[in-house]
Amino acid sequence: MNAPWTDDDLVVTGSGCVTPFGAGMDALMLGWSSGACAIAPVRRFSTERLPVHLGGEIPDPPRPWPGGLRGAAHLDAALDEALAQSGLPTASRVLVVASTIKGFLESGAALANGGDAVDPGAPARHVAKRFASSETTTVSTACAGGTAALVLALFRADALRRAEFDAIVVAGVDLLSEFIYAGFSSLAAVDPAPCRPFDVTRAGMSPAEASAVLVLETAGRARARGATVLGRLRGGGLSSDAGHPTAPDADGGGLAHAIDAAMRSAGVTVSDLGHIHAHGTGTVLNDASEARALERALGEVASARPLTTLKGNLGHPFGAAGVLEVAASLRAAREGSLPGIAGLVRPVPGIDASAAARPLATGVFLKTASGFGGFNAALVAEAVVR
Amino acid sequence: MTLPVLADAVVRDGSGFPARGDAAMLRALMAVDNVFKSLLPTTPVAIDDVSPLLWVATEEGSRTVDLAYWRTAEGDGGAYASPQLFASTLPSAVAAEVARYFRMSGPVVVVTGVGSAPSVPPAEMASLLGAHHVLALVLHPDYARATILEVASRDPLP
Repeated sequence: MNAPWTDDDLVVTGSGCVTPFGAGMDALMLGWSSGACAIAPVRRFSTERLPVHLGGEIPDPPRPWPGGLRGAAHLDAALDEALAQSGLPTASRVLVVASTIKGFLESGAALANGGDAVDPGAPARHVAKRFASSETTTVSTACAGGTAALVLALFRADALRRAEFDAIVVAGVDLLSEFIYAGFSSLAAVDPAPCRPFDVTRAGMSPAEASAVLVLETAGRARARGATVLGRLRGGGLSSDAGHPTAPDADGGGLAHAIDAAMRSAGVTVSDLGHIHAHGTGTVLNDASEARALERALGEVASARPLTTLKGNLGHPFGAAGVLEVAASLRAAREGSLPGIAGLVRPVPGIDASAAARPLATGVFLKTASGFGGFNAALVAEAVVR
Repeated sequence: MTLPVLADAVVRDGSGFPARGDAAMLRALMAVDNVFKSLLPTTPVAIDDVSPLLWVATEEGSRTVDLAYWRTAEGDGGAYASPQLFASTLPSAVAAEVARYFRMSGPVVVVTGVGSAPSVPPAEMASLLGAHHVLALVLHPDYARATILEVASRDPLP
């Protein structure tokens, strides 16, 4: 249903990112829309003794890095871009909702020292320093965390309407480290080649890193400030598979439950969706489970909704993924063109996926995510179409 | 609507509660078995409503587990990294096991970071997310202690 926009809507007024394509949303969209692949041999640490060697690395930012932390420099760049677009004053009262799995952690060697290098709460506090007044929350539900952070922000929008805060800043960040890479390699979850989400020959994910930031506020406040509204968040849902520690529910039941909750709270039906931005890690189990979940929640008609994912271009940036992918889908929907999935040659049955870009008829889209531990999140958002 | 808090408990080291459940799983997760013991009193809530909000706060998961995993990964270029320990290094690992153990299929929120605290009381978060029950846990460093912050319900407990 095409619900009218109101002043109470939770709208997006700024987005920013740093990805293996480089700094900025323009670089991301150029790489995504051109079908480029930034998954390459890992250079930051040795993978010589591992059976896999590829990942999505971000070029080092200029030094010095805040607190000596590379991740903080990435996060600063994403935040700078989002705040510049939004025009949100630093004197604002802000709720920071961050998503991360390991924060700024670069190496297991840092564990002995403690501090911001190992504290998953550090990214949220780093963002909060920019503002006169802030409160921070860090969500860590594995790779579903980024989308879950946006769902929680949506359900905290009443705090904006009550004027407890001026804005909610949602940030996602995770780094490609030896700590994480060796772990996914040990689980045999990494494709020796660049990942191929939703392809019948897919063989695993590609670990990556990214930072992404979205600035959220009420439509009324955004209008009063003269800010440009990029889109709005309409509904969300969270669920648990209550199943295997690392494998998703093969039947997709848990994710279907989250999708159903998101669609109901958004007041939309499958026919309202212009596209689906899937989690699409490229693992055999995830993509099959996700396709099944979409069918269970949306019916067979789900197979006719254009589906995409960024991960074939960039790899999987873990806790940053959901925030980054919503930012990218908002931009794509605003521009009316949905980039395809890099590496896709033979799509699995039951979904409408393509390697080629396709025109979009509407700005409404569904974002899905799942993570280790069986955590699921789904979000319905709507872009303002130019 | 804010849910009424029906029970509070602080449990140290699971003392006073019988060891029960999937012994193999508990052995695999070593450090967290006390949490499971601590949670036994909440079983009636969990089994009556399979979709409560599970809300967990933990500073950083377990440094002990992280270090144990890293010891397997740092030598030989990561060739012998332990997949079991790696999965347990996620700050959400305990929440995942709690959800699995009690078959909780509802929303899960894991808040992490030093000084982590609910920006919204867990019971209010349950209302926002449409859950009828909430089980809120605070995991102390290295899982040496679990605090059951609150077990709340919109409905009468069984």
